[in-house]
Amino acid sequence: MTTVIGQRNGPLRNVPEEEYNMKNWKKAIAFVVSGAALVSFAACGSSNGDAADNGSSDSGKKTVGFVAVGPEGGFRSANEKDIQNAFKDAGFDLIYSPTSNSDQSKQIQAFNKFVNDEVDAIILSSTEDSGWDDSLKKAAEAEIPVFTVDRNVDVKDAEAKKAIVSHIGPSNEWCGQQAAEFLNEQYPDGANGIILEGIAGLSVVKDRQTGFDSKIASNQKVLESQSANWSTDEAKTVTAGLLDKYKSEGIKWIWAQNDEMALGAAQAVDAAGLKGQVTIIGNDGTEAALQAVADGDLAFDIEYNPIFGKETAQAVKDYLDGKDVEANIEIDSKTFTKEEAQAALDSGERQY
Amino acid sequence: MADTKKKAGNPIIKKLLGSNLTWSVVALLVLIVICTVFSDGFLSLRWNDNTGGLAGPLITVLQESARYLMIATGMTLVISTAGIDLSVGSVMAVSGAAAMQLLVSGVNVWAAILLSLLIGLAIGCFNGMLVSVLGLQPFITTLIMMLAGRGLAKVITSGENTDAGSVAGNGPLKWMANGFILGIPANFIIALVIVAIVALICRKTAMGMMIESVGINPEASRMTGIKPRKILFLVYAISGLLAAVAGLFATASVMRVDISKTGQDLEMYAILAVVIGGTSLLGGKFSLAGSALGAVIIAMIRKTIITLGIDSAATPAFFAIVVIVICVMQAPKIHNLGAEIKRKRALKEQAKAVAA
Repeated sequence: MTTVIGQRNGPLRNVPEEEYNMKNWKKAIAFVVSGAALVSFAACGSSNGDAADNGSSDSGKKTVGFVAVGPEGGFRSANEKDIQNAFKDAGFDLIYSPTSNSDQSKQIQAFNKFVNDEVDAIILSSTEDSGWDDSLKKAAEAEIPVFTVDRNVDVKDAEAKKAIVSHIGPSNEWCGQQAAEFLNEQYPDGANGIILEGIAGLSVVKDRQTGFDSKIASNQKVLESQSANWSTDEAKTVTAGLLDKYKSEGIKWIWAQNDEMALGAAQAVDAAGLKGQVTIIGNDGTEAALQAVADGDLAFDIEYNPIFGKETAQAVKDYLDGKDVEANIEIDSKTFTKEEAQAALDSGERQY
Repeated sequence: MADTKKKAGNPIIKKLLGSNLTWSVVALLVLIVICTVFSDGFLSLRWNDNTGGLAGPLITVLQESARYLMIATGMTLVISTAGIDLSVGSVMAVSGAAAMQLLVSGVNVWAAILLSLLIGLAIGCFNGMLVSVLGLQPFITTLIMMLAGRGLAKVITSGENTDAGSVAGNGPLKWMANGFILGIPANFIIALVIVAIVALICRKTAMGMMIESVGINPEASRMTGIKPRKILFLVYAISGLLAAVAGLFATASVMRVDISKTGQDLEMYAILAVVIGGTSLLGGKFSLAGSALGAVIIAMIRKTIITLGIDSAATPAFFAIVVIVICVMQAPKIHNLGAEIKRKRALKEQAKAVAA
């Protein structure tokens, strides 16, 4: 009672109002939690059903679980569609389980569920390179082979390492090396440049940077390296800012670690009236970027080949048939200069 | 003479020091000074023949702040009814995705702009209906819309990052985000005009007061003849529409929608802008001018990060520190610190005098 009287010094309505709001927020949080729980239950329920159906209806077919990333952009769509088709063609039952917004916990849930369902093999396209030790250990105990695709996973536990049969995907270090070599060739006397990085902490970003650093000549000066979070829009803002900042030094080249950012950088360069004076390099080989290379907005693009479903399906098949499989299957990618980009676009064979 | 002048000046200074707006302006100026110290060309402006407008670091700040101005204005109205709209970032992605997809499929640019604005308005109305008619929690309603909106954007573009940069006749939309009016960025001017219209409607009619009264006590405002349901519905609808405008600014700037990145985390920036502007999250009194200034400060903080070249891993921490410092600067307790110390000193002296 005394505390209530004490509070009455302030405006009267504030007391119940605040308490009321506090309760509301608590309720809100409770709602969110229960809502999330419901959604995940529903998700588990539905995919459980799928797995059971697939397992029982075609008993002759091998079942493969695909822990995937889900829609994220051109590369991902092409990659995951290709894997799904390739496994279908190879006579597997592939259960596709995408996450959303790069949520790793959802991927781990899906992975553990595949282990519990005792699928014949698991394809893992992880959003993050760490945090897989426990799940992989379970897979090793259940003797389910795991194939990592695209992004490699970083495993510390020896037990967990046994589960991974093979990694299939293009090399990110190679991508960085190609960018550096192109710049060395373009500017043999050295030049100033900037780097647009992806989201800090991702293995892709680290690997591409490592590759770049290993090949870039010492006379090339990196004025600054900033993150633009893989986004076209942010890359435009960041590049515009850096072009202003290093006006006196003069930026001669920009290496963007993906195509989205390269396109944003090109627009900032264009707006600053520097089109043609700055060499911009993108990475991934998406259609929009190839078009930009052909149009002269970008100077060079390095592909990160998403089409390796066939190779993946073959590796899984070989392993299940008792054959030896290489621990690291590197997928070849291409690079594109202006003429090569135009030729690739004209051929109409690009799937992404 | 001097004495009376000093006495007359005091209340004004006091009022100025107590106002959130003053401290926001101070924060903005401090950020600009810091940037100027680190990069000498920061204040330089030059005419860019290529774009037909002024160019320079400050101009890009204005250009970027346009989208924050839009979502912060909508958010101010919603927050002053003691609600919250977490869906603005996703609405931006939806409207941007719709505009780009429509353009690519050959729809006239004006129709594309209008339709994507209508989609934003529709999502806002849906939020408003759930909150006002069904009485659902704003937090939950808009949180669901935030998750669903991102999904909707992905459905619209079928998972691609649609690029409308090479579509013929996209000029008007491109101009909206990249053009200039008398050398000033067009999107900033459009945003200012929209903020001014909203402010006029709120302050020249009873609208603003009704919103505030609903935020303070919906029951009491109902008894005085205000219809809280209509007001609630309206603020969410406006917030949805303004978020759609912000979505157009964000995507038209590069003529490309990024389904997972467009508008990402911007609901938080909008809330920060509103808080910096001095509107209480508990509802009631609101300041559109404060929120507008808050929006410009958010853009300025992002610019500072680029100018100082802060390591990408440390940017969120830097952002947080600046916002906290601004909020501390605005806290009334800090303002009264000087007076408090004086009072204590006076008391001590008094005690000494008595003892003597």
